[in-house]
Amino acid sequence: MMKKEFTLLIVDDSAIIRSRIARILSDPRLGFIRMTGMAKNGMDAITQFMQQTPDIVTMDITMPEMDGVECTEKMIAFSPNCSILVISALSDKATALKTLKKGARGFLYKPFTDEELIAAFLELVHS
Amino acid sequence: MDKRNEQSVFARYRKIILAVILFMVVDSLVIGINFYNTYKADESALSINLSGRQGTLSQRITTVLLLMQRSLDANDESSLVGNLQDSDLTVNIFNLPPSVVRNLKELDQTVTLFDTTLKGFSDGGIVTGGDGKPTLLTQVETAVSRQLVADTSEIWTKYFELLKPLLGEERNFSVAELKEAVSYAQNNNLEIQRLMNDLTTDLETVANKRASTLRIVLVIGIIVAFINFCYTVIITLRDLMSGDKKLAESRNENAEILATVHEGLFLLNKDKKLGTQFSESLPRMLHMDIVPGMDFMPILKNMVSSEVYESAVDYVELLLGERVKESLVASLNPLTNIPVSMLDKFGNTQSRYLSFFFNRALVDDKISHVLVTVQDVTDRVQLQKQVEQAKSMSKAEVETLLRLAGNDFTSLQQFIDNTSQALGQINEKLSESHDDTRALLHTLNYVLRLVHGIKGEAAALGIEALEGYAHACEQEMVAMRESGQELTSDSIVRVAVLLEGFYERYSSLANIASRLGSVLGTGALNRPDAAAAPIVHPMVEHVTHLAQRIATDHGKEVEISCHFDKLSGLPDHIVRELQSISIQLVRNALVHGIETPTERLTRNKPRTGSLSLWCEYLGSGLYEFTVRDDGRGIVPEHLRANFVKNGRLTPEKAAAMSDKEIAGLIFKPGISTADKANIDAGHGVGLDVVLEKVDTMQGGRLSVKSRPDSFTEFRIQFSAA
Amino acid sequence: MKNIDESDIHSFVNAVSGFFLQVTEEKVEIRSAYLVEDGIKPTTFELTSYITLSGNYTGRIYFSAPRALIAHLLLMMQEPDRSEERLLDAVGEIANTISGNARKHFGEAMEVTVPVTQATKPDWLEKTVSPRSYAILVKWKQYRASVIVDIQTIE
Repeated sequence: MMKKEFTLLIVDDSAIIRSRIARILSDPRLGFIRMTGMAKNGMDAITQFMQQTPDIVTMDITMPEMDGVECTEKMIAFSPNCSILVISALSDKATALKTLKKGARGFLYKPFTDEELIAAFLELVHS
Repeated sequence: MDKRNEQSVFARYRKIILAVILFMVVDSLVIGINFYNTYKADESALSINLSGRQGTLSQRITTVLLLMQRSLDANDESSLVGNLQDSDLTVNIFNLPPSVVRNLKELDQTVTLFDTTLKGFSDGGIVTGGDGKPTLLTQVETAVSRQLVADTSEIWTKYFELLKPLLGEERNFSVAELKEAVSYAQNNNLEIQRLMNDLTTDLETVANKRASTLRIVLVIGIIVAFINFCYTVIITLRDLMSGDKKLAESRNENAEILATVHEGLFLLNKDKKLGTQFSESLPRMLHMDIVPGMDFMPILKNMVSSEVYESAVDYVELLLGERVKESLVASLNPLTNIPVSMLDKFGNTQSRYLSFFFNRALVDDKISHVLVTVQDVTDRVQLQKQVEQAKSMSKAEVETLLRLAGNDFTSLQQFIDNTSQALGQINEKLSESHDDTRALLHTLNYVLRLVHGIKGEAAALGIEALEGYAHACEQEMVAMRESGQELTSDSIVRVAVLLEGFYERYSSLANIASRLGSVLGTGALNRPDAAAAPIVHPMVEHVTHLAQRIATDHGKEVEISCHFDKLSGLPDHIVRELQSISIQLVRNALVHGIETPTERLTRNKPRTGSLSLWCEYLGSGLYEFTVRDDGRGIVPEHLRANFVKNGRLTPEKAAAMSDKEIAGLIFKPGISTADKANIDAGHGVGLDVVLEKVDTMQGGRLSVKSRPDSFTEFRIQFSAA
Repeated sequence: MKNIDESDIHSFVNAVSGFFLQVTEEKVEIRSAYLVEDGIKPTTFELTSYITLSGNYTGRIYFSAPRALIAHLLLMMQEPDRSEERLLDAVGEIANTISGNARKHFGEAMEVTVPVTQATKPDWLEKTVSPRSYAILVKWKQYRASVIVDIQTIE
């Protein structure tokens, strides 16, 4: 069952990536996703997460103040049903797997294409 | 199960279901016929029974009448009758003997029974049955029966009239009446008997006919039912058999697939144990015996490094859990292109590459297993490696092609000659005996200088593959030199191996150059003679090209002016030397001399730096070649600080040296003022190459002029007599 | 074709070095390493032995030494008989040691012939050896000897 609308929080320390994800959301296929916030570090992300309790979070791994692994753990503890998509340039698969074990639902390599992100979002909200 | 599934079930069993329905219908029909038959048979039996009884009744009536007459005859008639004279004297019933009275009563019953039964045959109605109970008698059906009944009725009507006086409570009949009835009975009894007998026979015939028809219908029904039953059984059996066959086939297909498939296939359950079925190739691929139900993880543990193993455990657990999306984690599969060593059939160790792919197997949308596919990807990995190697090799070739296409055969040929010569010189140096560290250092410096020269020229021609290799060699040899005490004669083997690499790259370059040269015609590679020389000397392009590239790499802006007109008349070997020298000096000027645009602006200099190269004829066969930049100049304090920082000089020694001595150090090997080694400068080779080349030139002299923050100028004087 | 690297070369030189170290407690030292090219000949001496490899690696490895070196070696081995035959035995033995190391280094998937020995300066060698084979000159006591590595790998 698809909900009518999903809220999204973008977490990434790169402004370019943040605005890129926001831009990709303008694709008509993603009309059901509404961005509620952007965070550029882990602490900021947690604060916004608690206020907005978004359905979906895109999560960077390497960030100042609190990394994506810890951030994911905290978010899942707060709201176990949220879908976290890890987006990282990590060549280290072990760290990515660690984040998934903490409760993230998917992983996307940087650099990604528009299509890859759209596909990942569609996959994430399916079922 | 959804609707479609239900439909398919009905479609699959439609034949059987129809056959069963038909069977039931036919059976009901047969049973119905049977019931009807039995009912009809009962009915016929009743009719036959009663028609038979009519005969008996008629006989009885006659008998009773005769008995009455005899009884009257036997007694004194006068005692019975009031008036003996008159024949129609009525009989006084009270005077009748008891036997006659009994007879009269019987006559009553018998006549009534006969009458109602006959009416029943004629019109249908309730009659008293053989058991004395009322029974429904149906009208006779056939024409023959009707006629018989009608004939009987005709006789009976008269008979019944005659009998009427003898019946009832108040019997009031005369002897004559009795005689008349007796005589009628005697005359007609036989006829009635015959008629009733005929009726019985006819009824029997009808009943038999109907019974045999019904029997035929019943037999046909039973036969149809039986055929239907057989049909149902056959269809069911056939369907079952074909189902079994399909099942067996699919089982066989499964087994066949598992036996022939190249990939290792198996299912992993939630406990990470192997399923019962797996492909036959699996034990071979994993090089171990596989038993259903064995733990997968220990198998893996023996095959991969502990880090990969940890990741694999995480990955498999994620797939067995419900949370992550399979398609969104596929890129994290840690078990692709895993190198494993195995024994081949000769017992030799062989290194192979395996990839494990994991897919969830869902039952009712729940993860029941993970399907694991193991592929031997050795060929693919090796092909990939070869392609990569070929790519880097062909890169050099393509670059060479581009040079040739750029109408630059002369300089390419020159480069090939120079490189060949330099490599030969390196090899010769390596073949000398190295008896101590000093000799090794000497060789190392010598090789470094030559390699640096090759690097510079390769860069100038844009042959990046060779430039890159030269740079890598340079870095490695500088590291060797830095290692100081640890430098042993073994290092010379490494240098020889590096040289081999150079030769390999060089020969592929030379190969393609000569091949293309022959395609383009030998003239292409011939040196142009002086008269045909272009107005712009070819060196101008090389130098400009190199300078712009280095400037871009270092974030600098530069305007280059070259005046090489005077070079046209000079012999090739001198031009070649000058080109090598200018390459090193241009590099030096751009890396160390000219500042970045920002720095220049803060120093009130134009944003774009300027670099000039020119050649002058001084007369008497003497030439002067100058390279000048308007950069930061040679600042002795700056150099001193750098030398100390790099550990080349102790602070004390640096302080003790004069500015001139410090500046002179830039021509010594192992000195560089760039902070970090990069491809263009910084290995402390460059200016020593220049000095060495100038030394080999006839009448060669090198001088340097510089003013801090203003300019640096290198002048080379030589004789071309 | 893939080229061999310095670890391959060292494995052969170390075999020679190991042999001398074991027998004489004095190892050999590398003095130079270069490539056999036009104009740069392989260095050879009066006694030469070689083994031929086939399999994943193909080619030959030569060991060449002056008569005096081998005679000195025999002396240190307290071998009174220093006939031609004994001298050739000794160079053959060194080639055998190289062969053993080659097997260890490259794995068993390789066939190695028994050593061939020769007691004259092998002038044919410079003609038959492949271009860009490695020539490694070693020193033991005051003597020189050479190891020539002429192998290619097929992968």
